[in-house]
Amino acid sequence: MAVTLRDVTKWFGTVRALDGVTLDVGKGEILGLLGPNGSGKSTLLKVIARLIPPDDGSVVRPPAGRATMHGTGMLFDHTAHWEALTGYENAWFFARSYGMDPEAAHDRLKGLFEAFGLRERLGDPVSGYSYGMRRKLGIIEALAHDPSLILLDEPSIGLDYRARITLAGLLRDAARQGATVIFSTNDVSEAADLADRVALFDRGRLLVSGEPSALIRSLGAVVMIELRLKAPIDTRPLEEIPGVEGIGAEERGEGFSITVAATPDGLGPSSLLARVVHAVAAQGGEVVGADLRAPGLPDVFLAYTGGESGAS
Amino acid sequence: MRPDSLFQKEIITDLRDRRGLFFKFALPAALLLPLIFADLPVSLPATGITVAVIFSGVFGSSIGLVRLRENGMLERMAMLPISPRRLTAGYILANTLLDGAQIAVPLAAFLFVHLPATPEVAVSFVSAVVAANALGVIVAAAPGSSGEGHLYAIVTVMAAIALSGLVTATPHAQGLLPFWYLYATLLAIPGTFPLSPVALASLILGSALVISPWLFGRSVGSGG
Repeated sequence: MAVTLRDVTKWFGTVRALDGVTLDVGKGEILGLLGPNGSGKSTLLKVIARLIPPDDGSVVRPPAGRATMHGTGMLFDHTAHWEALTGYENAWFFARSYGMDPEAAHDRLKGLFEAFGLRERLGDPVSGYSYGMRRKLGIIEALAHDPSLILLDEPSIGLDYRARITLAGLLRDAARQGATVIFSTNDVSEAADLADRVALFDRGRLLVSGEPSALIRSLGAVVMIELRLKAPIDTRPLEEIPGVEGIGAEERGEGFSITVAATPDGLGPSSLLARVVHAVAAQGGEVVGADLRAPGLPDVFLAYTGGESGAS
Repeated sequence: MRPDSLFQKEIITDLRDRRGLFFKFALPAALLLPLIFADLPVSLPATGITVAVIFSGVFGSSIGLVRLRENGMLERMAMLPISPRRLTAGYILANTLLDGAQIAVPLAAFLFVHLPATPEVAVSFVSAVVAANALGVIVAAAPGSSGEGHLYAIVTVMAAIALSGLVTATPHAQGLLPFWYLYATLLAIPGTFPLSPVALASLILGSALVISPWLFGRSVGSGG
């Protein structure tokens, strides 16, 4: 394993940021850390980076010592740079500090600035960069030295669509070459698209980890029905419908939304939808919209983190 | 020049900030040159030069580092495969050069007016600038916000001025700070070297390097 965590616990005052996290991440694996705000994702990344020590438990990240630090690239959740220096000079400082020789650093940085569409701005002071450009620069600085351990805190924030695709490609290439990639995200679809495996956190605890497809299968549902109603209803009678696995409900603006996770054994999805709509109508509900879709990672997220609209 | 190290980065940043550079050189000159050329007791310009060294070193270094900690740059540098001690040494060296250069003009004027340059003045001046910047690093290592950092820096500057005997003589304390040696050599006070200012500056510098892992957010002994 490239990274092994055993019962890692971290307190900030009276808040338990990490609660007995045990996790293994393999070489060449892309792991997505998913969870609500404040669930401990960023803290975990910093513990793995050895920026903050755990209060309990162990983090093994061989090889130990300076070689490990040399082989780590990290994107932080902030966009700190040397403001008076140009983007290229910032990236140069980090590339050289990570031990790259000048020629290799120049070639690598040139390629990365090009890939992220920053080539024309590489000679401009960072003080004139937008937020998105600063994020791109942070990614360039984290990846330039080809680290064997890549830690990214919410890497897609501030990135345009093209940059997200570029980043995904770079991370997949790095993983193919044996790098271990661990990233945190609030974007469930990003985790589903990019990660080989997802680790779901809530309140510092690791709730579940696995391949996105396996986590989706673990819900037990093969179809998700989303209904939008004009007003709230009692959803308990819907649970009596054969095939219904779980029901979530939440108020949305002036309306009300119901999500039904179901395995329509013997029934087609359309028939099941009709039964659900009929049951809603029997409760006095007025359906203004309905969707039938396959379950996805967002449903897993909501189910495990206790979201109101999650399938239980 | 591209920054290959923190030392180079500090030099480049300061040289590129034309307005900041102008004020860094103009302010000490504007404050000290009238004192030096006026018909005043020599102790006044000597005090002014020593205070300028303490202020620019302690305040400049500590506030610079507190800002870097607040904006996250220290955290980023803690990830580098470079020891905190080496980073800190580069930072102190760069700021020593810059502070030394900005006070060198008033110092040269002082020496021109009041006495010939002596090796003791050079040694005590360099020692005081190094010590002031190292003291600034120690102050910055104390946890706290930017506001607290300013407060700690001001308190340290005031304490250093008072304990160095620049306000009134402090016979039991002044010899323990390298700033008094600068003051004393500027006044050509005989027999002012019971302790070497180099040794005292080295002690403060060493202390700054020892605590530097805390500055960069790493516990001492955690290794790169």
